[in-house]
Amino acid sequence: MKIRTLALRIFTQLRHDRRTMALVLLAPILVLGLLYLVLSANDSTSTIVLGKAPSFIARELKKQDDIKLKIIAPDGGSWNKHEQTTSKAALKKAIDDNSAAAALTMRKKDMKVKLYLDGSDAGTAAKISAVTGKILQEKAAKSQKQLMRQLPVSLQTQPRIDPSLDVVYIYGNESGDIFDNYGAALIGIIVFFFVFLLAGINFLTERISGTLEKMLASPIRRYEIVFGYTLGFSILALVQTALVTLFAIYVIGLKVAGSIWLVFLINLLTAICALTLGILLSSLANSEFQMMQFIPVIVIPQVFLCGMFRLSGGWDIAGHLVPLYYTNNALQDVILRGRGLSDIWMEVLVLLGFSIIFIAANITTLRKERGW
Amino acid sequence: MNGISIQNVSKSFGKKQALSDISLRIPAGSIFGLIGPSGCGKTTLVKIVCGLLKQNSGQIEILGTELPSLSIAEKTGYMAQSAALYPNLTGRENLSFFGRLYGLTGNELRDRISYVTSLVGLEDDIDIRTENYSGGMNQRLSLATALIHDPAVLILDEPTVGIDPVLRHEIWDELHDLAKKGVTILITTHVMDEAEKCDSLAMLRDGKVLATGSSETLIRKAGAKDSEQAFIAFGTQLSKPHSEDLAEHNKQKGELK
Ligand SMILES: Nc1ncnc2c1ncn2[C@@H]1O[C@H](COP(=O)(O)OP(=O)(O)OP(=O)(O)O)[C@@H](O)[C@H]1O
Ligand SMILES: [Mg+2]
Repeated sequence: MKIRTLALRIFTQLRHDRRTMALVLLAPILVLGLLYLVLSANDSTSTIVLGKAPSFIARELKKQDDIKLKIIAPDGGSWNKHEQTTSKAALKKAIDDNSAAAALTMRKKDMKVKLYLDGSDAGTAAKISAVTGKILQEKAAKSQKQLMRQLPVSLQTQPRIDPSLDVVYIYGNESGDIFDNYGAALIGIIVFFFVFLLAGINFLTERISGTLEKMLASPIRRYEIVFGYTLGFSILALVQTALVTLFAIYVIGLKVAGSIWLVFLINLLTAICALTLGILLSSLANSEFQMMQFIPVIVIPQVFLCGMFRLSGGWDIAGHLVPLYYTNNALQDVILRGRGLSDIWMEVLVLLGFSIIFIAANITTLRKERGW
Repeated sequence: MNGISIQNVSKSFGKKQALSDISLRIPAGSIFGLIGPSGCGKTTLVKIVCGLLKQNSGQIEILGTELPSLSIAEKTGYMAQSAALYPNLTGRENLSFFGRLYGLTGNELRDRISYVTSLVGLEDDIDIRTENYSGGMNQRLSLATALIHDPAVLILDEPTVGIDPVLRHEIWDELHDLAKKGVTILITTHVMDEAEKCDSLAMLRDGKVLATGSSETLIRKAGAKDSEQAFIAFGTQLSKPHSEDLAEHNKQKGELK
C-alpha cells in the first residue's frame, strides 16, 4: 500500500517534470541514433585469410577501393609463400587467431569458391562478400569470352571456376551491420546510465530537502521506501526500455535474432540494478554534482569492462564483477545469436542477485538515516 | 499520563556533545516549549523524540510506549525546521502523499486535506506547485502536512518562522484548541512572545537544561524583567555575570533607538 503510494508519487513528480521526462525518454534515443551514425561509417583495414584459392582473387581483392584489405596466409604470414590449408576448422582458427574478417578457399573437386565470414563485424563482412562475388563473376565472364575465341586451348589449360560464391557465416549472419554488434551492448549501457543517474539524483534530492526525513518520521518501514522507489523507477525504466528497444529495432533496423521479450527482461533487470545502485550511492553524495562524479567511477569503467571491447587477460576477469558485463552477455546472446532463456538464465540470475544485494544494502543504509 | 517523557537522554556527534542528560516530562494535552540559543540542541532533541535520531543513552516514552515504535510514529506529527516538501508537486499532492503514508485514504483523506488547508489559509493556492510558493506559504504547508493525520502528539521545530502575525495568531489559537482536545505539543522557538503561550518551557544551552517551568517562573529565576531578557540572561549565563550582560543589552537597545 505504502509502496504503491510512493511509486505513484514518483510518477506524479515525473509527470510534472517535463524536462526530466524528456531527458529520460528522448535522450537515450538521441544517443543511440548518434552512435548508430558514427558506427555505421567504417573504413579501417580488414584482414582476409587466403586458403587454397587462385591468386587472381587476391590480386583483384587488393585492387578494390570499396574496402581496404590485408591478405594473409592461414598461419598469419604472407599469403603467396606458404603452404595453404582448406579445412574449415583451420580457416576458422586462422580467423580467430588473426582477428580476420573473412577466409577464402576453393574446393578442388568442383572449383567452387567458399567464403567464411565473421559476421560479428557485419558491415565489413557484407562488403567482402559483395566484392568477392563481383570478382568471380567478372572472371567468369572473361573466361567465357576466351573460351569463345580459342576453344581447344582453354579447355585444357584454363581452370573453369564456378562463378557462384558459397558464403558461410562463422559468426552472426548476413543481415546485420556493424551497429548490431555494438547495438546490443549499447542498449544496456544507455538504460543503465540514465536510470542510475535519475534514481540517484532523485533520492539524493529527497535526502537533501528533508523529505526523506519526513518520510522516515512517518510509520513507513524502511523496506517499503526502497521497494516503493524501485517500483516507481522500474515502471519508468520499462517505458524507457520499450522506447529504446523499439527505436533500435524499427528505426535503426537492429536485427533481434531472439525474443524481444527477453530483451525487455534483461533491460528491466539492468534498470533495477542501476536504480538500486544509484540510490545506494546517493547516500555517499552531498550534492547533485557529487552524484555526477560517479559517472566516471561507476558507469564508464563498466562500459569498458562489459565485454563490448576485447580485453586482455586480467581485465576480462574484472569484467565479471560489473553488472553490465552480464547485461551485455545476455543481450548479445539474444540479439545476435538468437539464444533463449535456457542459455541466459545465469546472467539473469546474476543481475537479479546484484539487485537484491543493492536493495538489502539500501534498507540497511536507511537505518543510519532513521536511527533505528 | 505523560504525553512525552524524556529520561536522561544524551547524544553526541563524534566528539561534539549535543545533548547531555536531558530529562523532561510533558503531560498529555499540554504545550511544551523548548527555547535556547542557536546550536543548543533543540533540533537534536526533537529529532530523537521523532525517532529520526538514536540517543546514545537514556530513553524516550511517548504515550507510555518506549521508542522506537512504528505505532507511535503513526500518532506523531512532525514539522521539520526547514519546510520539507516536493517542489514539483502541488500543495494538495504533497498533503495527499503524506496523508497516505499515515494510512489516510478516500473521503477521510479529502476531508483532512480541506481541513488543514483552511487552517493554514492556503485554500486558494492548494492546487499550484509548491515551487511557486513563498517562504511563508511553504512553512504553512509544512505545518499542514504535520497535522494531516490528526496526530495525538505534535512536534514542531520553529513552526511559525516566516508566517505573518495574523496567521500566526490563528495557528496558535488552533494549537491551543488541539491541546484542549488532548494533543501533546512539543514546540521549539526563538520568538519569546510565542514562548509565553506555552504551558511550560525548558531553557536549553550547550545541550543542557538550564531551567524549566512556565515563562513567569523562568523570568523570576533569571531575575529579569521580561521573557526576552530572561532568554538573554540564560543564554549568556556562566560566561559573564548576567546583570552586567543585561545592562549591556539595555544599552544596545537604547543605542538602536
Ligand atoms: N548531524 C550532525 N553532525 C554533527 N553535529 C551536529 C549534527 N546535528 C547537530 N549537530 C551539532 O549539535 C549541536 C546542536 O544542534 P541543533 O541543530 O540541535 O541546534 P538547535 O538548537 O536546533 O539550533 P537552531 O536554533 O539554530 O536551530 C550543534 O552544535 C550542531 O553543530
Ligand atoms: Mg534547530
